[in-house]
Amino acid sequence: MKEMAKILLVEDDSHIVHFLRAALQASGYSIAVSDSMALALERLIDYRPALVLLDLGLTDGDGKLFLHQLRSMSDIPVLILSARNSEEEIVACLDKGADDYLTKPIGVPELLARVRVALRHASVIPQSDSILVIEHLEIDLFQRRVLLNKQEVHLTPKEYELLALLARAKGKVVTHRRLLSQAWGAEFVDHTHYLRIHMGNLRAKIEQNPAEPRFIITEPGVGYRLLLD
Amino acid sequence: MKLSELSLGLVSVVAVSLLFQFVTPVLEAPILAMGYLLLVLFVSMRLSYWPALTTAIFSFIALNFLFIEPRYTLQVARLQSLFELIGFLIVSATMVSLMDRLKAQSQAAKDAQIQAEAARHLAESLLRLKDAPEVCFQGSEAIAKALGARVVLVSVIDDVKVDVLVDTDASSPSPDMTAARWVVAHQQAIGPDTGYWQELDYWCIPLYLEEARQITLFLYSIRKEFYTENNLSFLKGLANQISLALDLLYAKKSEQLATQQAEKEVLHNTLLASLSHDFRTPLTTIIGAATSLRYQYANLSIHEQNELFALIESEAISMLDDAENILSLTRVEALGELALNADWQSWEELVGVVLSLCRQRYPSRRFDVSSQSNLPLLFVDAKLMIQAVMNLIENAIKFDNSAEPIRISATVDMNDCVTLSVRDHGVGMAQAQAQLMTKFMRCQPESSQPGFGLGLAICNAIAKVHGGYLKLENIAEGGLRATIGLPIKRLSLV
Repeated sequence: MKEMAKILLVEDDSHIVHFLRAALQASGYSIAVSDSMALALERLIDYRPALVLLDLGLTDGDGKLFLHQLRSMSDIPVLILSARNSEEEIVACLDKGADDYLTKPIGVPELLARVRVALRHASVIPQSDSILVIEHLEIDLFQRRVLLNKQEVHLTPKEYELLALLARAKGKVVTHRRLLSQAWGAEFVDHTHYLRIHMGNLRAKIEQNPAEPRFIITEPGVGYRLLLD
Repeated sequence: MKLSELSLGLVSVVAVSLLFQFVTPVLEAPILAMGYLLLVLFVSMRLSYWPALTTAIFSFIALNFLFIEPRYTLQVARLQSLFELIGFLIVSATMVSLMDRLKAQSQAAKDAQIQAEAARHLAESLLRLKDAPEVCFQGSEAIAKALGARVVLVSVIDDVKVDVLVDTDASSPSPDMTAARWVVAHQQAIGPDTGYWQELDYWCIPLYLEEARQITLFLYSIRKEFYTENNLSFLKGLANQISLALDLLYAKKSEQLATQQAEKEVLHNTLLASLSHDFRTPLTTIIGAATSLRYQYANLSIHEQNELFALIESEAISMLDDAENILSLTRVEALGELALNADWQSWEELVGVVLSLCRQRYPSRRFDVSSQSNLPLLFVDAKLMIQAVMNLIENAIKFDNSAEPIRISATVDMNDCVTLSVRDHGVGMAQAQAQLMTKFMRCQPESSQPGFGLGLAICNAIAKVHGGYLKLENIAEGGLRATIGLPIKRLSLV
């Protein structure tokens, strides 16, 4: 029998723990809960979870601190689950290494979907051929080629750069800052209009209907994400 | 007396005398005397009083010496010639002084015109300014320029607190604060020609009385002759323009404060009203459904159970939307532009997010999106703008039960605004839009329709805080079009 993934839930609100535990266990995950950062660090070592669901407002401090400590010892997926929904907060967490950010309140189906995606990404063994195929879109990171319906798409170097950055993130959100500093340089991190214009052009080339994108999803105020499945 | 003017007078007398040397055989002395008078007239028009008078005396001597018998002496042979000479002297001196007075009068008229013009110009330029320090600064600079002097504004709060507000020449020693306090206490100008503190080498006049402080104006000129009655009244005229501009500014500000206060009160009341309606109604449903499920679970069919669960879910989601709206509304109203997390956004992306939300929430509805090509980027807060457009769409969905798609469109209008419109085929609106937006009214009071006003109120607030507007209009063929207009902000590519 296949062993289900272990999830560490770092959350201090007993009501939320109650329904999350029920929902996750019902889907076959095994759960450990800790209500403080100190305990969470111990559990991280003795429980060896495959994924961490992290609340930010904990009794012994800001969950971002725990995220920072965790990232220095492990790269297991971390999903932030927080009532704080400001863009700065989301960007800060993603930049600190969180894999995804869910804002409370959240429905159970969406939560489970995000957990599945994060676990799947973590289990993917890095491919040597570095070809990413999403439906009829093919991104060849080695040959720097993009095919749509087997036809080569002619992208400008910047458009390719942006698409490649999203592809390498394997479905994780890439923040505006990161895209700008990687594609243009650190001094351009505030030039979001560059991003809007090039992203618009890129979408026009690969999306059937740019207003309802299939591949490149906008995370308003935060960044972009390549939707893998 | 200017040396150049004096020598000009002298030279002209010599020149005329030389000319007369050629015509003496023909013309008699009285005729020549008239020629000299003409010369004195011309000279007194051009030169100031003393050089003109000296020229008259030179002419008198030249006439006597060169043309009165015996010639080339200062003696006079005939009694009639003596009378002629004395007459010449009296007429020319009178002419010079009359001309001087005439010149002074026309100069005064010209000065008065210049001063009036300067005061008018100052008044106009001060009216355009938006805050008091700016008025004080620009006003002082203008006075300093007009009078060619240093201007210092001093604010007196009490005996201890005295500050320099503006100093057009800060390198000079600071003004005497005792003088400023005296002026404040007595509301009287001091300095030369004022009747008070005459020994000073500057003027200090009361300028403006605010609630807690009094502003006085110091004026320093390096020219002693500057301190005339005329210049003092000119100064007072200019200073008056500053105090008028300040008056207007404070009046406008208190009016604005009153309006803001009133708006805040309306907001408060409407928020309370919305809390009681928009929250109580769904809570009633949720509590009802939850208690049914808990106490009558066994008696309910699976279908009924599912319906109640779905009801709880949808009502809770609508409460969450209302909570978001109220949060945004209070934040935008309280912080104004500071609440904005504005950045360059493309409409295509914003509408993409809106559409994906709509598809999740209303899988059975159809949406029709059309955008003008090459829309400019918008400098907006993405989250708030998405919220505003979502509210318009939800509003459209609530009031439109037809099968027609909800139309979402974006164009640039003639006023250089990007307009984002949501159009439905519902009942439209019956009341004035202003009432809809400010009073959170519903089309039918106490109707069973969910909240109508809160969504529009937040749209209005979001549009306003972006410098834009929200417009609602009934469409002749039926339905309502809600439009958010946003002024285009040009991208400066530096």
